[in-house]
Amino acid sequence: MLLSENYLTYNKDLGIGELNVVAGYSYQQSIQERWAARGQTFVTDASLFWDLDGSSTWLSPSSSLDEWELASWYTRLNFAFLDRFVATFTARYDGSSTFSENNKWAFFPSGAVAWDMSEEAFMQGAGFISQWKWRVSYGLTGNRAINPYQTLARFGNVFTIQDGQPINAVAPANVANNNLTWETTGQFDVGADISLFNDRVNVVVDYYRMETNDLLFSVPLPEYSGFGTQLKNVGSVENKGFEFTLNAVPVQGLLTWRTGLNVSTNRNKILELPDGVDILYSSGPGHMVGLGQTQVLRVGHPVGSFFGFLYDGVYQEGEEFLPGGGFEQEAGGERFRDVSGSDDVPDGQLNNDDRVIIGNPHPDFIWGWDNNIEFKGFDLNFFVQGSQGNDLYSYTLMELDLLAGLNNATTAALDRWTPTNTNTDVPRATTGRARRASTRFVQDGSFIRLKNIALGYSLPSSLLNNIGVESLRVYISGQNLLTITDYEGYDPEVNYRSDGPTNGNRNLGLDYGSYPNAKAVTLGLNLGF
Amino acid sequence: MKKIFLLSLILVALTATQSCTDLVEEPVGLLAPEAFFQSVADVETAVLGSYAYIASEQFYGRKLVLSLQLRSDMCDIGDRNTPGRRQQVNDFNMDSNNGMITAFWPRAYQIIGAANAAIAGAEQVGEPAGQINELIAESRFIRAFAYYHLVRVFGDIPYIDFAIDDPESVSAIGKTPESEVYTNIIADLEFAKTNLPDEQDGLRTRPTKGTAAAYLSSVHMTLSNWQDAYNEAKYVIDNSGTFGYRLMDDFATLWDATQHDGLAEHIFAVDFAGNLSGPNNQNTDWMAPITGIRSVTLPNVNAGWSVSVPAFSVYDTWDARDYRRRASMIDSAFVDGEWSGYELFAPNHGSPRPHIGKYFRNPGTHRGDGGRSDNNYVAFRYAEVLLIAAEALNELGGSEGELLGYLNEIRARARNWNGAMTDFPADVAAGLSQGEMRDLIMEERRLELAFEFKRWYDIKRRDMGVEVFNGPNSLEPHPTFDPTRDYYFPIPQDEIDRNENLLPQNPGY
Repeated sequence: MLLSENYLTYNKDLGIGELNVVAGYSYQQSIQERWAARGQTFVTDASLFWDLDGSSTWLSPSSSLDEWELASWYTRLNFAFLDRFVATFTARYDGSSTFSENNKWAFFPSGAVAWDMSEEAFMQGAGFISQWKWRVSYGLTGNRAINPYQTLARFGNVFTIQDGQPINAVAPANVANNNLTWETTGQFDVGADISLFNDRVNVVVDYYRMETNDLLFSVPLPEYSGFGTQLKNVGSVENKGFEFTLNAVPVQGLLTWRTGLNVSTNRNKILELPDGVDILYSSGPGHMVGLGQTQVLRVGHPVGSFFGFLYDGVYQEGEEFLPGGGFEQEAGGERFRDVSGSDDVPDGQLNNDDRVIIGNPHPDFIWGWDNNIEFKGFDLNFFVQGSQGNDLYSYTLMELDLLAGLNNATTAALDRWTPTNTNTDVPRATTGRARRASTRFVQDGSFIRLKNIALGYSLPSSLLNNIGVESLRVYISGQNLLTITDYEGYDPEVNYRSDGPTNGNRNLGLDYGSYPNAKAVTLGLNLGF
Repeated sequence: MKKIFLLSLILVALTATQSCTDLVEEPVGLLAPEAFFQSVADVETAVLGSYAYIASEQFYGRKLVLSLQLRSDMCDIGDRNTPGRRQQVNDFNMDSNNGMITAFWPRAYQIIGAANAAIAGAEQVGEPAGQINELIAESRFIRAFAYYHLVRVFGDIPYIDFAIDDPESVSAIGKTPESEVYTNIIADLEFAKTNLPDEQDGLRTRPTKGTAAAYLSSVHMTLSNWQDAYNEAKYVIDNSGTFGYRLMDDFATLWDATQHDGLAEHIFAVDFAGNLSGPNNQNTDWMAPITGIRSVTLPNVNAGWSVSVPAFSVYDTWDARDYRRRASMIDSAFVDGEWSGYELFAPNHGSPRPHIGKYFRNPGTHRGDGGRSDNNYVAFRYAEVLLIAAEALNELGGSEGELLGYLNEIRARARNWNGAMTDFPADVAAGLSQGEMRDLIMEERRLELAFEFKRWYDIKRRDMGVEVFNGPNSLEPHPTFDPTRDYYFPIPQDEIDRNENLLPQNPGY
């Protein structure tokens, strides 16, 4: 890794204010070499990995070389004037090797103005206001979070068996994209920082709107092309919302209570897709074949919307079964709603035209509430967190509650439809049921969680001086002790397939054996000397 | 001001060396197609890439060939606890998200994509023309092989015969009509037949002139071009010495993985090496365990999965004197250490009946249950060439003596019980009507080629579905069989979702 930063600064007092200018150039280069050799079945464990040739089974070695470069010209201009205004202007011209030729460079300007209104003469009478600052800003930022060589056509190594022996060969692995460029976000923000009553109350309020264009997205290609996916710039997405933070000290003295509340709402919407066409995709585990598509990108809807059939419970004896290839036609079978035919009116049969958006993984709002109470030597701290109005899609339940005899089931299986237990919406157990994405596996993921609570007691220092100890605090704390939710999985804070630059932003609210947050209780002692 | 000037100078000096970077990526250890093709050997390396996809779980290792087995009247679902995607194929209850088609459709097109890339590379290298043409011919054969499966399974399909640089170029293409796909397949095979060598160092896993001609005879048979089917089959028979083709003396030899490499009866085989697998299910085959028997032990393998199991009638109606039944099926084995009849097979898995033996009995090196076997799955063998010649002669009203010669060559071999000659099946006698002979040949194909992924295609091309699934003598009755729908599989829904020009979906889905 090579990093070179070169810049000039220039400061000048212009009388009404101070001007500060920075201009520079930075260059980064990363070279990553990987090398691996492997062996199995060693004569002895004593030599650790320093005697690979002592293994009886030699496994295939691997090596690779990855290189990327990032170059930037930038300038920042800062002007603080009249004791109450600050204006900032920045501009960057960034180039990244990871994008296609001719699309490597992009320009990202931004500007911001802040006005400390409390310095104005007309505010001087309002003594309870210690600060009231307005901020407004607009800027462009770029995202280049992709791996190198994504834009190049590539062959991959494969092997074939001829005459019983493996022979190395190559096959197309990646198709070129000659137009890949920076993902760009334009963000507008207006807000205020307000401090009241000698800073006992601090409020920060913001409204923002971000529009991200040329999203970097791993687009599923037509399979008849012979390729799987291609990294492309697709469409644009809007995020907008309010953020509100309140920090206050309602009680101060013998008993001190500090509290902080934050609430934020975000609305996510796809503004544009190539040709306005839906992009369907699935993020299910690989072994769940035949799952079909479980999510959709659709203009006017949030990213990662769940997609599938509307589950209408089970068929009862004597009811008419909706025809459709692969759909169950028996009492106790899964019943889906006939929403649409090819011309958008119900056509009396079930097929893929009946799939609709069945859930939104984005919450209406999320919030957190932090408290700290001190009384004599005691301190109590608790933090409550919540999310409201988000849906979760559970591949876990889809697997367990398929009720096709493939694996264990949840206790919902006890209430499955049988000729004697007909008043249920759990379908009958049957072999050969196809996995079908539907509202049956979509649940409300709202939750309120006591994330953290801690109670401590610090012994008075007068007691401690005698034994040569500066401070002594005993405490008990607990994490995730209480959760209020209707979600039936282990934990509403799910994270399945949410990693990575190209998956993370489209895989939201998915659960498949997501590792749950542990409940923990800690007893502790802090000693200071 | 002077200072600023000086500092600027230093800055320029510092950055000059770095800023002249053009940010061009120069990958090392990654293979860029345009730079890769320099020699004939490079082209061959790319040609061989296609086989990695053919010999994979999604194609000849399971998904395609298991679908073809189950679709026919010769293989039913044994254990009904098996995933629904398999039961849908077997029970004529498929939907367009079916997990079999969504696996082998993309894999087929990867085979085709690899072949097209190799052809483009070959054309780039260009010289020497003779060797290059052989490799182009090999890739065109592979492309035809993949499309021949696709067109029979799906009918009208997207047909791509060029290397794709930009996926946009094919994002909205429509389907090519079935008849035109066949025309293209024949053109590829004709080119292959002209340009391929007579020999591939004795390998049966790469095509020769003989392989191309055998496939041409099959394609023409499918299209009922009887004269062409006969001509191509006859060409293979007449030149069988040149190509090294003959029937194995012992039918059972064909089903012993330890003897598969370069087997004289094999015209085209898909080679899997035992206990070896690569990324993306390369070289992974499960046909042995999936046709094998739960809870039994055989000398070379134990405990299969009882998924694709013939209906009992397949065994029951097959004359016990036919050596081919014995070699093709397993009706007794060790169950819990006791040698037992099929009544004790897979008692808790719904299939106490004889199972398929062709892949499970002798899978060579494997992981224990027959998985990741050493089988070379035969895609075409010489016996079928004889059957095609006979069938075409019958349709053409050709020489009865020649026709009977082909059929009786197969029957004579079947009479060899591991060296001991028996008198069953007897030679076919002269004097049958054309219709009787047609039925006899279809039956001979059903038994000789049993479980070899051929029967469904025979049912389809001869429009026998109603008879074999709904008729009184059905081996595996399926009242749900609908001839207006079920001769084609549905096109995978996700493909239609991405490109609506693939509409209409095949009828009934």
